[in-house]
Amino acid sequence: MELATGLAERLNDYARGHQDLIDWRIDFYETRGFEAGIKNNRIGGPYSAPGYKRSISGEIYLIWAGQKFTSAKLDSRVVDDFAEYMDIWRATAYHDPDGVGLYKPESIPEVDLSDERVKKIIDHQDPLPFRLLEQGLQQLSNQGIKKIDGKVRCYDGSRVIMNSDGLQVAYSQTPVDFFFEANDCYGESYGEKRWPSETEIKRIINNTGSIASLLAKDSGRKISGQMQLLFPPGIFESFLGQFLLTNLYGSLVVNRQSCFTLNDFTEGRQVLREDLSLEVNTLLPHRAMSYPCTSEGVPGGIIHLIDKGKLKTPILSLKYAKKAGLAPTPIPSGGFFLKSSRPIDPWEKLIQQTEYGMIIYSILGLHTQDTSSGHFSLTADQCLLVERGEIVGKVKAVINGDFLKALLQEESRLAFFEGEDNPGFAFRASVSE
Amino acid sequence: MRVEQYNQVVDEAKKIGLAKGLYFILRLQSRKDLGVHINNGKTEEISSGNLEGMGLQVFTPEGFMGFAAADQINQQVVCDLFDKAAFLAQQSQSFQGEPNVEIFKLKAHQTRKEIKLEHPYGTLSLVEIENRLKGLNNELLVMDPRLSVRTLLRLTDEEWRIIRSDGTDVVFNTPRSMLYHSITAKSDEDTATTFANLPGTDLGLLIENEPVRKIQERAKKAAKLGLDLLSAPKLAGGHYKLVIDYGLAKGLAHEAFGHAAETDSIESSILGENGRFKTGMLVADSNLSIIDGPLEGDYAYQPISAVGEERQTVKIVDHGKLNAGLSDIFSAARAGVPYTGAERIENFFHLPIARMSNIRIEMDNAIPMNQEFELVTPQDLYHILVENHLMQADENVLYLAGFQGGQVNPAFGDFVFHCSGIYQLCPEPVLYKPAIFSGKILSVLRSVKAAIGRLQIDAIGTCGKMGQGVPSCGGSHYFLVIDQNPEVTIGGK
Repeated sequence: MELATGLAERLNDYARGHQDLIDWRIDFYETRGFEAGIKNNRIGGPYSAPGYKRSISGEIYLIWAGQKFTSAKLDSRVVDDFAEYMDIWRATAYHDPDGVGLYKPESIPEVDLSDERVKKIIDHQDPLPFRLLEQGLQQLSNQGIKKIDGKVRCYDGSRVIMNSDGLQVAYSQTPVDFFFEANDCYGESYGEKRWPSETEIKRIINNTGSIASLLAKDSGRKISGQMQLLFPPGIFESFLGQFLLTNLYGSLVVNRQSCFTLNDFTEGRQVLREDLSLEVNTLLPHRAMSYPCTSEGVPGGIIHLIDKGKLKTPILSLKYAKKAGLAPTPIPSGGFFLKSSRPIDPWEKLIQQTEYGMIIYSILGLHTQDTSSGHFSLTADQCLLVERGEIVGKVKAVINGDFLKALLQEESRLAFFEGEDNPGFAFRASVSE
Repeated sequence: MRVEQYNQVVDEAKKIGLAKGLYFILRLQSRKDLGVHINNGKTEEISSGNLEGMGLQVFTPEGFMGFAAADQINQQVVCDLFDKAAFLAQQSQSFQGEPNVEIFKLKAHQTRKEIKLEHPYGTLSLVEIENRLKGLNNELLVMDPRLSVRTLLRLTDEEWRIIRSDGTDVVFNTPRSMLYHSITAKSDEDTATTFANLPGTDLGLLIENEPVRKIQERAKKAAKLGLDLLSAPKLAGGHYKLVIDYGLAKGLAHEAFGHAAETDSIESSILGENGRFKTGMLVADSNLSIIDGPLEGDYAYQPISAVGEERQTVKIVDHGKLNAGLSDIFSAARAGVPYTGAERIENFFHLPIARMSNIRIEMDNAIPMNQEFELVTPQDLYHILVENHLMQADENVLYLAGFQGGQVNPAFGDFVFHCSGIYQLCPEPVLYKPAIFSGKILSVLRSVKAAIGRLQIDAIGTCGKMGQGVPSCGGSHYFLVIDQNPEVTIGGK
């Protein structure tokens, strides 16, 4: 906070002496945290030694006369070396006829993102992360897992967003994440802005162990042809992020680099089945995806990107809101919700009703796929074959299809998962050895 | 260099280390970045940033470790970090952490390696940089109204100083630059995105004629491929005889072999057995070698490791035989291989792990080719293959063009990488949509049968491992020919 107000004072002083600096906006983030891990069944070895980290980072945006703008990263030296930084910022200002000024929000909502337990951990008053790693190591060993890896990270951060128009938003947050991976084949993770409950910890460790144990048994089958692919929520979210959410960003839509056009939004093009909607909510307490406002000062909230299968709005920063002639939106930050208006069966029932299918727990190469096309061609390297409603054993296959088309098909199915934000998903696609 | 100004911080660390009886490695980093982003002929953003800080790795005499890092470099901060790291090393011991004493065996040295830039930032004005980038961007836009183009120039001026309590003090810089086009072709029915890039060390990418011409050729080729992909059919998946370009060959070397040869994970790697590297195992044709090592001016240049030792050039595969691992100090002895200084870190906030730098596949007796890589067409390739009896005139052979990234699971030996497009080679080659190239590490290299053209080792990427992203680079001869193999699959409908 001290650095942010110090920088604000210097910026205001500078603006008083240099009339070409019209406005400014800063987003400062100060954080300190703790990390520790397990590699190959050992806590705190050379690659997972316990660590303490602290950093000061952020962004600055300057608005100059003549539609010129500066965009730069901030660091801890910015107040002490202000004159040097200002010279660089002035020298790297660029002309942008589409650039925008400051945003004036009516109000900024509040959301609780801080957990005192996490702060104690970072101050070394509580060895909870070591206990968590020990718990995972012990439980997974008891489940017969031979190789265990994992990591836990806890951070305490304070963020300040200010601008020359008087906006000042300050809040603290305590992001925590951990994961366990068993036998190099399956892992589950947690990521929120609070320390996890014992129920959450046990669920993640147990799931990791039981699914890895199922993957240890080879089905002995070779598979090919058309079959049902069953995506648990984690895999479904990765596909939604890669092929759907990416194409909703305003900068790609407006610049014709998305598979959707601006007209598709104004005309409400049907891109999902009519029971499906996609929304973002940044105001859920202690959630990883939550924040009160964007770095541009746009208030957080609920935004419906797709409603009843129809495109509603791209994800819009101030610049692209102006270019699109639409209102700016909150920006998704690590989470979204795909919802169906139809009743959906539990995941276990979906498996029971699967005649011939494959549950996919790991994909290799998703990041290499062309997001603008919707086509996928991937190796699913950790999967369980399902025949007549029963899990047979591990298989591996190359899968091919069009994910965006699958989201439109009536025969595609969703399945409910306890404790997950999004459902599982099942659809038909082509599979080869 | 900038990192040489912090002698007082270094002295303070040495003083504390001595007083506490703790061994330490102190890493100082100073990085300045500039990014210029042009979108469809207009400046989207120019961004600048500095990153400066230090990471301190502390070892108890028994080898238990603690780590602390901050993005500030001063005497007070180094004192704080020492306290934190020493406390965590004790915590590691009390929670039965894993000790490792290998670092104590290193010998002290002082080394300084500085690359002097011919065209540093400032050689061109920012306006001139913008104009040249806009020119390159516009050349593509005017090719076809269905195209949209994002162009990015990134300049990184990075310096490191690594100090150990044994008296080691090394200073080096790793400057790099990159020019990148993302080209999207869009019709009413379909969208396809292709890429073209060129690495360098400085603004020479925009100043010297040769790199400018090269990125122009690569970009035109990528744009034409994107447009052709709009109407391209899908290929039937299966096992084919293949030709891959040097970008994909870099992917093959990197994903299929490099990661599996990193000894920090040798316990679970397909190239290890009972925690030992399988030196001497036959993995490829006796003409084939895989080499990793730092090259001055390369995008992934790393002359000194993240623990302060000189990085070695390593023949991972030497004429078909598994020869050496990419080893870090903590795992080399355990894996039964010589130490090669393979440690890298993304920045001072991270712990060192074994990584690749520039990795390339080299073959003896490569078929010579006079053309430049950028100018070789699929037709040319077909004729060269037929003339050199590498395929029958009517044989079904696929040419995979353009590397789009890859991934590997070294424990199971599965790898994938993706291409931009697939041509069926014939007198009039037929283009198909891209599909995944996947296989088993221990099968694929044995199927590489021939190489065509000179070595081209400027295929760049960012390699992710254990949450750290570092620049990667590499390649091979222009093209490699891979025989049909039941364990190498091309995805498809």
